[in-house]
Amino acid sequence: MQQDFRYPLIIGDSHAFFLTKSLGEINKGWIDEIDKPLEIIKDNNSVVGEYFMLNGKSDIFQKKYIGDKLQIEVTQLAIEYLLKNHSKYSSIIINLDGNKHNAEFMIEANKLFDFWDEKIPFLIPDRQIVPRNSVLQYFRQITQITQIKASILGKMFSNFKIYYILPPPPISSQEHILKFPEIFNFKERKIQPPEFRIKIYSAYCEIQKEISKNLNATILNPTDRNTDSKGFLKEEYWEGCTHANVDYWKNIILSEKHEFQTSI
Amino acid sequence: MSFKHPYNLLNPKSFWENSVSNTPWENIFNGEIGSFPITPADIICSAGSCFASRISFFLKEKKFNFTNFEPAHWIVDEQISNELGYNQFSARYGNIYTPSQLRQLIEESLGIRPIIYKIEKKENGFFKDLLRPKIHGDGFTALEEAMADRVYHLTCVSEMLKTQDVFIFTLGLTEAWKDLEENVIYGIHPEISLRRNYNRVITPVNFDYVECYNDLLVSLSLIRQLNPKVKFILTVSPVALVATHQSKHALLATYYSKSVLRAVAGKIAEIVKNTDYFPSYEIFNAAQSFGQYLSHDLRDINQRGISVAMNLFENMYLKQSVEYDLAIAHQKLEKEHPLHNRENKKTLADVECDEILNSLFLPKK
Repeated sequence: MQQDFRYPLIIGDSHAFFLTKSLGEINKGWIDEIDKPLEIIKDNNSVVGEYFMLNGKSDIFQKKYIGDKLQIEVTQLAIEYLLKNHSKYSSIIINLDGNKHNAEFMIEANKLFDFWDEKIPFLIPDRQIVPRNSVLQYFRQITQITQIKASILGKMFSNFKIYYILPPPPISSQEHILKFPEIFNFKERKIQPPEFRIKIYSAYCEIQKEISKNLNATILNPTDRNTDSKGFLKEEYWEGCTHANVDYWKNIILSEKHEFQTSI
Repeated sequence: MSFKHPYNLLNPKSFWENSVSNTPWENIFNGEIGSFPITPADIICSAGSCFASRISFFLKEKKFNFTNFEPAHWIVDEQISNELGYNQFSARYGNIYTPSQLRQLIEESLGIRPIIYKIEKKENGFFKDLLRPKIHGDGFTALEEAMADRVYHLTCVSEMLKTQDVFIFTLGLTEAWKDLEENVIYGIHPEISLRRNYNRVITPVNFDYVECYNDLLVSLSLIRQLNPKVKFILTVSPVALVATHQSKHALLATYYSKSVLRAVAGKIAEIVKNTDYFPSYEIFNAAQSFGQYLSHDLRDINQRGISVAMNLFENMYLKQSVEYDLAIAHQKLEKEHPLHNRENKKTLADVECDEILNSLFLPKK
């Protein structure tokens, strides 16, 4: 296909998947395995972007042990493809581990806790209070590899404009979450209260922003259009229990004065 | 002709010449046995002045079931948790110097009196719980946070009181500070905790024998009512006052304090069932020890003395139990095959009394 303009390369997990769908269609589903970026096709059959899906089955990173030291590197296939096709891309849009906070704290586990966040001044009764810094520190600890991946991508794409997408805000409705549980098992454990989830989200976004600094990236923030008065995801954008739908991402893309496509 | 008299019936140790005159000081209490054994399965808790936390370290080292009813949440890094005041005692109450403070805490946690929220903002913007001035580092970031933490803490204390098998209380001081209007006792003056003026009238108090006796008796009675199986061990802290709030010589104030506390502890141990007095005070402070277990400032105690005291504790209470050998065997096994290598950064030497804050205001000579 002839390329008349440069387009973005999107690299990321399930949030990036929905962002991709807001730009056009791809010929694989979230659970499929791929070995190269998927073309994003718009209605008139033109390629408007590429998406490398990081869904666990497909990855551009691999772990390697040198002695007992863990090394993270980009796969040979990814390097070859990306080096060969660098000139196709106008910008890079990245999202890494955008759902880690939900994986850790969507469900009530043993030893419940809460923490003070001055922007969300509410504490759940009968919970042990921990410093907010401890939550941030924990998130930093579990995203160490993510930081390394971000550094690698930052160096690989140092000549590009890089955008980093934050995860969407949480869904407030416990009822909706129960109806669309995704991978969570809510039969045995309860959902964390929404007040707790939004504080966790806020803390995790701070860490995601730290990750984006390794990329020298521009953050694509959620907008007021997408959130309700308490900062939760508006109902019209709910997708599953932890995601935002295509319309949400369209708003994100449109809200930023940026150019995802550039002329060749 | 020999005749019978009451002294004939006494144990040889009751005679000074047998038990003190020619006995090396470190062996002075050899053969003493506690009124009850402590088994590895017993849930042991402690509270009191800094000396109480030294006992807790020792018990943990010996792998006895010293139980923390308010451990830090797993999300809090271990180093940070020590800095926040966890892991010192059986709950995060900090130092409790007087029987009156103990009674206040027990009554609060059992709902006998309303929760005492004495939380004030420091000049740096953080909030201090004035009843626990040394916990949580610089302080809480918000009033609500401090209040919620206090509620949680008292829940843990209540659970501790209900569940423990052995409660060790170290009586530290008779001096304290009181808000007479609100009937609140402080171990440390609020202005020292806050490093600024405090707008309430706080009165220095020096509890006498009757007050200490009543407060301790009520405290132990409340615990027993809740938990009839609990046994008590009382000790008097051998560490002298940093400063007295009276216009008296520090040595005189210290001896008054310790004498009252020693008398109270002795009497309570006599009359309350399953209550023992552990002679840590005598080990360190009896003149016959020649001060060999005092530290260079003659106020605090040294490591050698702590070892002697803890050995005695072990002999009096721990070795009695049939399960002791099992515990020692287990300890040996763990040393040979450690489960983890994470160093506990907190050592005996790191334990600090809140009372040391008073020394910041020591007038220069």
